[in-house]
Amino acid sequence: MEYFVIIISAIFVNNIVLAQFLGICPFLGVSNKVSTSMGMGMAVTFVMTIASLVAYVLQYGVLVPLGIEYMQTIVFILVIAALVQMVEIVLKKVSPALYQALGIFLPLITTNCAVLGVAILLVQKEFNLAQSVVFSAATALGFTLALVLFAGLREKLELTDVPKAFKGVPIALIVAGILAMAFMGFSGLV
Amino acid sequence: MNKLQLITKGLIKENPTFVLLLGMCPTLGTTTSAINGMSMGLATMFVLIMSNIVVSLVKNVIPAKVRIPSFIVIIASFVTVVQLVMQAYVPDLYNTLGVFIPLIVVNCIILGRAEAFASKHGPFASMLDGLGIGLGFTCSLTLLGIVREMLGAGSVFGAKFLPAGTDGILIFVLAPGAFIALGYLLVLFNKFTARLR
Amino acid sequence: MQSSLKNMVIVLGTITLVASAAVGGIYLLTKEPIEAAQQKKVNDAIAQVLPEFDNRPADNVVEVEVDGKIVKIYPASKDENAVGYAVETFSKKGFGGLMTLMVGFLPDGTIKDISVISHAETPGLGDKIQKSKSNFAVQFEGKNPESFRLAVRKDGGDVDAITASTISSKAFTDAVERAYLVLQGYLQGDSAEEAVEAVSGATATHNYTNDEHKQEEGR
Repeated sequence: MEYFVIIISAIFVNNIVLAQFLGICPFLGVSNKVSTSMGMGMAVTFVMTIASLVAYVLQYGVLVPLGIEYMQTIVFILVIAALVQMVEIVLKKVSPALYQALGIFLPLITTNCAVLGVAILLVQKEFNLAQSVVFSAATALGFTLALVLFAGLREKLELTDVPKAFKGVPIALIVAGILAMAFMGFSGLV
Repeated sequence: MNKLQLITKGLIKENPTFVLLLGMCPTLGTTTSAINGMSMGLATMFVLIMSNIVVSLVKNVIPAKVRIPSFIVIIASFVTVVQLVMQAYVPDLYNTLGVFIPLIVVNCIILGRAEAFASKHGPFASMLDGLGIGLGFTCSLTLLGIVREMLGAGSVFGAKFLPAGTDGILIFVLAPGAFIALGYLLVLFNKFTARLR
Repeated sequence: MQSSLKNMVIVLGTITLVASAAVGGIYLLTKEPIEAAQQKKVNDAIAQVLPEFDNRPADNVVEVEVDGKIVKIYPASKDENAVGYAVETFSKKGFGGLMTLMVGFLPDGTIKDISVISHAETPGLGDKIQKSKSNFAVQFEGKNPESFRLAVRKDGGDVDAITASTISSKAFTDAVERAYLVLQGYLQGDSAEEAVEAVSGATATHNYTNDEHKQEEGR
């Protein structure tokens, strides 16, 4: 039940993009096509889940015992950067097919604030290990959902006639606002 | 480019928010009020100026392959300094801005300037560049904060202009309002700059 | 500059070391102000929620562990007579996560005042739990939880929830209830251990029955 609440809340109610404003860059940048946004979403899900696991272990295995919690930001970003590199190398060796699909998105993930944001949030929310993994996986799914929905909208938007000043990002932002409004309807769920 | 242009280019021509569309997460996430937006802008500006100076000082001793990791360490250190100082002297503001303070480290503007400007110019020019882009970012965030606070809460910098007991259009303080307000500001900015050209 | 393994390791190592040392230095410098700022916040909250006192409540703090976190009781007295208790309490059920409150009780258990220490509720909605934003918290003042049922009306209690922010209102109420139960346990048992037992025992009997709920709706 507890995990169910975490999952629903992370995907719909507190959607990382539409309610918490993390990962906006890929949300606006990689959402022109549904297929690419799927790929990005999967790459983020993969990295975010592993990164959260590693962040959890580092936080409670190294930073807290040593009393240097203030080094959190530095340690987490370095670990995420290194992790993305490692995932890239391992993926290339182990599964070339998956690498083909996700490879081009991986370098973009280091500066995706959603990954670092989730690592920091799970420490702030004082989740235990299992909760952390469930939370980060669900958050990443929420990210994918928002990205794919938005890409679908933008594909349609391409074909519509919008005033010149609204073309491109402005109309995309306004549409994202309406999507965010729709997601607010989920807040009664938990 | 002369010194003055370095500072003013961030306001209109290379405005990080409205032209380059960088650093969108804090732009949308922290502008629930004018004061929050401005504080976030100033915190980012501090990190930007300091990291620009340090990067330009050490650029010649950093091997090409570890350039990005080195920059990230430098930026992350200044972000941690901001975190600690804010916790000590403005704890309430620190709580309000929450997760977005540590996330300054992944703000593309900062790494972008380190890579595109500071690693090619001297410390003084880099400092001015950081100041200029930082000012542009701060102004954009403050502007968006003012708009959202005016519409959403009926106040400007906490001073309420609506009669007591009345609320603004709440949606503008909430998540959807951030997207919509920024969208319309971008439209106005496009109109305005199109006329300038 | 050309990259070789040696200079890469040396440069990155040096930068990391210097940066860590600098951050460590700043940490030591800001450590005391950070603690002082946190302490001041707690002291201000205590002073706000209690009647006038002349002791130093923070010196006699009693810590009680409930649900994996600490609830702190600060006893206040004036001229050696107990004038009230400030209870630093929490709820994990907030919309944005953890919520920390300071609840002031008079010796008979009546709520004097409540101050929000920290919260992560949505600006414009859930943050109305703060007295500076709305009158939500005022309805608790002068009420004794013995007769004032600490639950939102939807759950059969007496608390009027904030419009569109039921979750935040529930979390706030949850924190106040926790404070009340811990304090009652402490006052009856007079020791931290007994207080915990009283809370775990009391929580089970403190649920309002459905009958009351129906009466509430019928009224």
